Amino acid sequence: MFGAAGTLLNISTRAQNQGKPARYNIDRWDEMMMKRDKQLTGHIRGQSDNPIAPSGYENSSVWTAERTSS
Amino acid sequence: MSAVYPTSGEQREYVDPTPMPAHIPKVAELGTSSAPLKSAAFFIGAYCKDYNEDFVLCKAEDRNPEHCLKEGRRVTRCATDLITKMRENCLQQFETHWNCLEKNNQARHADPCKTRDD
Repeated sequence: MFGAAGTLLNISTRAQNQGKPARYNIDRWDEMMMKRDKQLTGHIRGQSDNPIAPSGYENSSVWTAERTSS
Repeated sequence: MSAVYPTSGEQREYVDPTPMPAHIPKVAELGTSSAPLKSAAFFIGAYCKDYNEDFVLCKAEDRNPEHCLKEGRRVTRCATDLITKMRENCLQQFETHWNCLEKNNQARHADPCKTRDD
């Protein structure tokens, strides 16, 4: 029973992380880099080693906005 | 620049479609994501030392983004140049190393990833 639950959890985390082990001890730097990875490849664990960014990259950075309540 | 307004608290993601002004020279942005960059970090630091130091000192003078655009373009060009050279000469080792980093929480000190790649 524990084995089944553990296996299910392992499969679930690996599926969310594109087959790789999950990242841990993530600090603000890593959060920023993962956000950039998402902007470059579409997934926070996606990686690419092209020297040149894809064409929509310059205008696709995501800001978090709140509506002012005035 | 920073005034604090009362907000509704509900956050939404916003993508600003405005392009850069036309008078600013264009540079092709670096397309490497976090793991290859971490793998190449020491080499970028050695190869692009002058441009990186220029940029950091410029930022120390004034945090306004517009102030350091030129130094930033130089940094981007130097890093793009180095990544292109690394891919030409040692693509296989580079890819092995950064794939290994990805599997180990991007820790350079993790045992499987302690190889020298150049």
